[in-house]
Amino acid sequence: MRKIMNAPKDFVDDFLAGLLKAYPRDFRSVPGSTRAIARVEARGADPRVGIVTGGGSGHLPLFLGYVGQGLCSAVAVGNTFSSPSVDAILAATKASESGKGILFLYGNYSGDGINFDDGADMARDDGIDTATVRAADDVASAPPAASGSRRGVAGLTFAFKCAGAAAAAGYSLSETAGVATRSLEGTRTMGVGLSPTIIPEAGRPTFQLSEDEMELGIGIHGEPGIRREKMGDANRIADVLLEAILAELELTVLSRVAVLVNSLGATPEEELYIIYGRVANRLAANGINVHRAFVGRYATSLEMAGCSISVMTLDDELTSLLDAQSYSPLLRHF
Amino acid sequence: MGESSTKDALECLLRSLIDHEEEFRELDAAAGDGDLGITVRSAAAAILEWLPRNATFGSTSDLLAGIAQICASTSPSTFGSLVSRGLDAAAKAIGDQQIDDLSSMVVGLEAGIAMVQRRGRAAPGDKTFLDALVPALAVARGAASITVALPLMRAAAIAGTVQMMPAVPKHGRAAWVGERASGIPDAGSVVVIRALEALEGTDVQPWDAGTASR
Repeated sequence: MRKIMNAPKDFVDDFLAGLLKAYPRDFRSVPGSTRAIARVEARGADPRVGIVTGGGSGHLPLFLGYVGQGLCSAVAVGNTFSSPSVDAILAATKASESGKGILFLYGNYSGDGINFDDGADMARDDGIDTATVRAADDVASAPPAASGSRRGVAGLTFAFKCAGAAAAAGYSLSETAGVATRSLEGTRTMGVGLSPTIIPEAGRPTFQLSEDEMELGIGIHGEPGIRREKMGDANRIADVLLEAILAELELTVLSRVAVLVNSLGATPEEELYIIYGRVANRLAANGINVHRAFVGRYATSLEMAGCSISVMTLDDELTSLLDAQSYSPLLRHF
Repeated sequence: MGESSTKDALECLLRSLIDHEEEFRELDAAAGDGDLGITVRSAAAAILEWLPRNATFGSTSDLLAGIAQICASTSPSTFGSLVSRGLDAAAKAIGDQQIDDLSSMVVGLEAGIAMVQRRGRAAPGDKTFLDALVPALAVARGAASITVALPLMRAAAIAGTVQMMPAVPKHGRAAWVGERASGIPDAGSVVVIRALEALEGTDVQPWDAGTASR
């Protein structure tokens, strides 16, 4: 294992310390937990719905990078690929509350749900209104009949952007949660893995893959996907992922969508654009209008090679929310 | 068990879990995301450090609640969170009783298992660590003492785990692997077995022959 780090057990705390020093105008640690980070202006000038996210480390810019202007207000940070603690969730919640309530918006993972639910219970005991929306956009993680048990992956970023814009525009808690829910209902993602990732604290690859194999449907923790295939070319990869996604979205001619081609960490932008070129051609051939495309690192799995494609169905309201201005120092184009 | 033997048994259990980190990691990586080894090791190490300074061995309830708190703060993963909630429920159920009494151990296990089922939304047969815990509890109920119960509990936990090896998991990250996890023992169940072994003072490898490699 060649990783740039000090003691593996300090991996998360060390990167957090450096990140806070790098962007003191944007992020601050909050009282109550060393693993809670908030926007410097989390509460804003006017009362607004706070959006608290969180999850394991190892996915930057997810989750921390989506704390920013027009995005989330605070984040609870877990160990690598592991849920954040209730203490961190509660601290992030208190830093975000300005009287209009808190939306918990995160990925559908068992441990995250257990801890966020306990955090929400404690917040309500303190008189804070809460709502919860979990992303379950990964089509490869369960069949359509069990779509509620799917894991949340890169499509969560669309919900951050839309719900964040809604909160900034003064939407109520239930309206903001409604926006998040609707954006996720119309979003599907699927990924492909080309090489494993190494959890710093474990020091070993999470799985083995032969040189000429790819793992279709891989999760952002290196969870095995739905099948292994002989390594295909970019068009083949784009086609397999896009077909699985489109099979579940009721898109017709003139449907409007946003597309995200996301690197799982190690895959370079050049390869992502090759994928996007094919996706754009296929969608155009079906008469589907791509309103916006995002290509880059949005939800990673440390140094895993591979990519994911997300497609989000847009209506007029989601389009304007998606187009609203947002800023985080960890996001270049969002 | 007096206070010193409770401490000795607990330390033996925790050291054993740390020694088995690699096994937990490998089983979890084959079926889930591979973080179980770290989860268990870091929590066990934190509890080991905490024990001599802070533990009140006079009160089983306080001891379990303290351990639950460390699990929640050190290893709030799915497994760590469920173990934490389970220990907390066990602590409340045991109250003023002592753990060296078999009946209080059964009471604690019953409450802990009920909590894990509720919060994890899982049942025995879903290929989770309940498949080791529930049969272990069943045989403990009929035993004459903890000493008699432990080997029976270990055997029951192994049988429950081995029986579920061909199954496809229904929960957690392991569930997404689907068919591929068939033939691999549930990693959380193996943690339970290793813990029971350590309490009993044995170390066997009942599933080596059947462990599938990815």
